[in-house]
Amino acid sequence: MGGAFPSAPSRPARASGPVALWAGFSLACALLAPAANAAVDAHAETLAALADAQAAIAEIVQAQDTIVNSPAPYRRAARRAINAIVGEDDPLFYRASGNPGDAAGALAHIDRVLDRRGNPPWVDALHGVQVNLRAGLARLRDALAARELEDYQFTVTDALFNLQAAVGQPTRTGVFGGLEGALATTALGVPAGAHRVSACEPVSAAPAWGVKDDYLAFVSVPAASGTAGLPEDFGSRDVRVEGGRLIVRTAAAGIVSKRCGARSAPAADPPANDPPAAASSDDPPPALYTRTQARAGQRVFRQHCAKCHGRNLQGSLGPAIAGTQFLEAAQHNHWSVEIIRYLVVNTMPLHDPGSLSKEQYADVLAYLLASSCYPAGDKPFPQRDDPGLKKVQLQPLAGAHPGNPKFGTCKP
Amino acid sequence: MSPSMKPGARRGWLVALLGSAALAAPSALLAAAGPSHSQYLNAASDNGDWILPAKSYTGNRYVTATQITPHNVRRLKRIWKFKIDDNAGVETAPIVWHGMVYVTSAHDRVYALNAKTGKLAWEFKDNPHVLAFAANRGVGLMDGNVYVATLDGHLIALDAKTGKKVWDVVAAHDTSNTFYSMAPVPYHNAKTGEDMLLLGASNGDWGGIGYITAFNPKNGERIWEWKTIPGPGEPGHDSWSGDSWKRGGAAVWSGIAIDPETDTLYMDLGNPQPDFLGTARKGANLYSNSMVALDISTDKPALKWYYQFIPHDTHDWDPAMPPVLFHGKVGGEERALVAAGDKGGNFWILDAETGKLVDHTVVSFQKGQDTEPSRAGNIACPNTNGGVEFNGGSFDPATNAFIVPSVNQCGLWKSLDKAVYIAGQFYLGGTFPKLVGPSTGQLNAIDVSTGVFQWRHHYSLPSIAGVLITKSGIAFTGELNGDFDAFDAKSGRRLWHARTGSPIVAPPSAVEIGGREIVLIASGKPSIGMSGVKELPKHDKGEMISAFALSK
Repeated sequence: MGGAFPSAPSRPARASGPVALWAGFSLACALLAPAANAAVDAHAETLAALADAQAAIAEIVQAQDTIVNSPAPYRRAARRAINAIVGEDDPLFYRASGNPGDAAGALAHIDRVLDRRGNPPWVDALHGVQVNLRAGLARLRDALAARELEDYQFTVTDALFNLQAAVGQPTRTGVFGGLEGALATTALGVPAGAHRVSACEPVSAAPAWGVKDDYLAFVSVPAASGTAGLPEDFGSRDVRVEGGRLIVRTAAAGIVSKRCGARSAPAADPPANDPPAAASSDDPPPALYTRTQARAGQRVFRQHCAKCHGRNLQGSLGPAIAGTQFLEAAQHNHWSVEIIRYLVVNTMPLHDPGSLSKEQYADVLAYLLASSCYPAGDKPFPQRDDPGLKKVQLQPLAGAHPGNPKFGTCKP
Repeated sequence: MSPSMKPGARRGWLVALLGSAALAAPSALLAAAGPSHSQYLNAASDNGDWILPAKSYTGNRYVTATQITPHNVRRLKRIWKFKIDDNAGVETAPIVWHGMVYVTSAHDRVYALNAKTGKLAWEFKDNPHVLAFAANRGVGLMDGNVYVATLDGHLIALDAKTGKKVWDVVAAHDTSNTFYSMAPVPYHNAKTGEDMLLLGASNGDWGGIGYITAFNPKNGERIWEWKTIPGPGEPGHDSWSGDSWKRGGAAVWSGIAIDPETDTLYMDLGNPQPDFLGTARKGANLYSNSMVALDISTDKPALKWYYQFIPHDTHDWDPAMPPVLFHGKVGGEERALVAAGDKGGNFWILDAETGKLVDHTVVSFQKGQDTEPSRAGNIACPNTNGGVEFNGGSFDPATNAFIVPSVNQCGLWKSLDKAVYIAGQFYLGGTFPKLVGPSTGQLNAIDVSTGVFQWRHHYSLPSIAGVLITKSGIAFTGELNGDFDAFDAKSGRRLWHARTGSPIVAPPSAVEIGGREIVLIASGKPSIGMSGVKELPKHDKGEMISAFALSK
C-alpha cells in the first residue's frame, strides 16, 4: 500500500503487515510536534485530502461488491463519494446521503495547500490531483444521470480510475503521482514539527526527514532490534541500514542527489491564481440581471411557477427548467434569452398567462438565469423586449453548473 | 489498492449483475415469454390477466368477473398500496400478467409489483428530458419484454423478469417537438405473420405532425408508419392553407382500438396547430380532430374512412378519449359501433364499419364555441382541459348505456398576432386559456339507442378518471378529490367509495388472482391540465397504486 508515512489519526488504517514500528514512530512524532501554528499544515491537509479521496473510493468499491437489483445503493455510493470530494459547503453536496469524508472535502484541502507563495515541487503533483479529482467528480455526476445500471457502472468505473490516479499509483520503484506520490517524494510528507535535515548531508539522526529544495530524499528511522519491515508500496527507492538507522530512500532521492551538487533552485514564480482546470472555451455570458431581482424572482417563482416546475425547478407536472438536460435542450434548440423571455411573458403561468406584473416577469426571469448560473450584475433584467437578449444563448455554462440531478443550485 | 478496484472493477460489476439475475430466476419461469397471440385476441374474456391498457383491443373497460356485486361492494377494502417515487400525476393503466402488475409513473418509471401483495419485484427508473409535461399511460407486454415509450421519444424494452434494459431506441423522428405518453400496444398481424408494437407520437402542440408507427418488438425497427396529415397530392391536403400542414399537429396521443377480424385500427387524432390561431391554417385541417379507421392488414396502412368531429378547431378541443368498439342497440337493432368523446364537451357514436354518425350528445356546458380566440380575448366553454378527457368511458351491454365522465369548465382564450415555431416549445399562436368560473364534472350514462342520459351524477370537481364496468352491474371510477367510487350501473347511485388521498386521473383495472377479484387504481397529483383548478384539495398523499378486494 502506498503512502505509509506517519499519518494523522483520522487516516483510515489500510496497510496490513509490519507497521507497528511506524505506528510507534507516528506517536513519537505527534508528541514531538508542537501544536500547529496558524499557518496551513500542508502535511496534515494532504493526508486529509488523501483520506477523503480514499473514502470516496471505498464507497464505490463497497457498492460495487453489493449484489442488489436496484440502482439505489450505487447512486447513494456515488453521492457519498461526491460528498467526500466536494465537502459540505459545496452546492453539489448531497446532504441527505451522508459524508464518508470530512467536512472540508478533498478539493478544499488541496486548495489550502496550494494557496501559498512559492512553487515547491509538489504543486504540479497537486494540480494533477485536482484535475483527476474533478474528472472523477464529473464522471460520478454523469453516472448519477445514467439511464441504466450498466451505463452507471461503466461511468463509475472510469471515475474510479480518476480517483485512483488522484490517490497515486504504486509502482515497482515507488509511488508516483497523486497524493501518495507527493507525500512520498516531497516535503509534503514531512509532518509538522518533525526533524528536518538536509538531504545533502550524511544521515546523522533518527527520526529525521532528509529534504532538499522541498524534495524528500529519505526518512531515517531508529533501527530497533528484532524485525523491522516496511509496507511494500511505501514509495521507497531502497532501504539501507546505516549507523543503527534504517534509511528509507524515496523515489526523489535521485533527483536530490543531483541537486545537492548544484546551487539552490532559483526562486520560483508566484503561482497563478487561475483555477487549475478551467475548461471554458466560450466567452463568459454577460450579466443580465441583479441579485435583488433574482431574490424577488425566487419568491414569484415559488408562488406562481413551482407547482408545475417544482420548487427547485426540477420539474413536476411540467418540465424541469434548470439543470443539464434543460440547458442542453436550450442549446440544441437555440433558445436565446429573448425567446425564453417571450415565452414566459406571453404564455406563463399556463393557466393564467400574462397575469404577472412586468416587474414580476423580469424578476422571475432573473431567477431563472441565476438558477442556470448566469452571472448577476448591476443592470436589471429588462421589463420589455430587448434586442440584446437575442444575442445571449441559453446553454450550459462551462464549469459553472452542477447539473442533474441537482437543479437550480446556483441560487442568488 | 484492493484487487477489485483495478481494471477488474468492471468484472466486479458483471458479477453483481449475474448475481441478481440468478436471484430472479425462480420468477422467470412464471413470466414466460408474455401473452400469446390468442391471449391477446381473447383478452376480453380472460379475467385472470389484464394485458392491454383497456383490457382488450376493443378499448372497452369491461370485465365478466362477478365476485364484486352491487350487494357486497361495501365490503371492498384496500388490501395494499404501493407508493410511487415520482412527483407528478399517475395516468397509468395497470397491466397484469401472471400475477405481476406493471405500472408506470409520470416520468416513465416502471414498476413490477406482486398483484397479491403489492410487493415490488423490480423497478426501472428513467430520467428523461421533459418537453412540456410529464405523463405516461402504461406499458405493453410481448416476447418476455415490458415496453415503455418515454417523454424524450425513446422506445425501451425491459426484461419482464428483471426490469433490466434489453434495448433502447430513439423512436420519435424529432425529439425537440415529439414525445410519447401512450402505452405501446402489442399486435400480431395474422396475414403477414408480423408481431408489432403500435405507438402514436405525442406532438400535437409543439409544431410536429402526428404519426403512428408499428415497431418490431425484437429491436425497435420501424415496420410501417402512417402520417396523420395528408401531404401534397394526397386526398385532404387541400384542407390546409399554404404550408400550414407542415406543422399541422393531429397527434396520436392516446389509446387505440383494433378490430383483429378486419385488421382495422381505430384512432382519434389530435387538434390542429397552431392551436389557437385559425387564420394561420385556413380550411378543415384534416385529419385533425377526427377518428380514422385504417386497414393495417399490410405494411402499407390505408385509410378506410374518417369522421371529423370539429373541423378547423381553434380551441384545442381534440377527441382525447380513446375509441371504444362495442355492439349496442340502436332502434332495436344491434350494431357494431365506435364511441368517441372530445374536449369540446361532445360524445359521439359512429358506425364502426362506415364511420357514419349515429348519434351525438353534449355532455359538458358549452358556450362561445363558434368564435375563434381573439387578440383581446374571448370566453368559450369547455376549457382546453374540459369536456371528455383522455380516459374516456366504457359501454355496459346490460343497460345499453355508455358511461363516460365529463368536465364543465370555461376559459378566456387569447390569440397572438402570429404563430412562431420555436423548436422544443409550444406552437400555439396564442396562450392556454385562463380559467373562468367554477370547474365541475359529471358521470354520464348515455343511452346508446337514444343519445339521451339514463342518469347523470354530478361532481363538485372535474371528472376525468377512467370507467370500469363489471358484468355484475358496477361502474368503478375515480375523482379528483381522491375518492375511488363504485356506482350502480343501472341507477347511477354511488354504492361505495374509498379515499386514496390523492386525485385520480387514471383508469381502473380488475383481475382475479387466486380466486380473489382485485381492482387496481393509480392516484397522485392532478394532470397538468387540471393543476390550475382552484377547487382542488390543497394537499395530496403522493403518487400510489391501490388494490381493492372484498374483505374476507
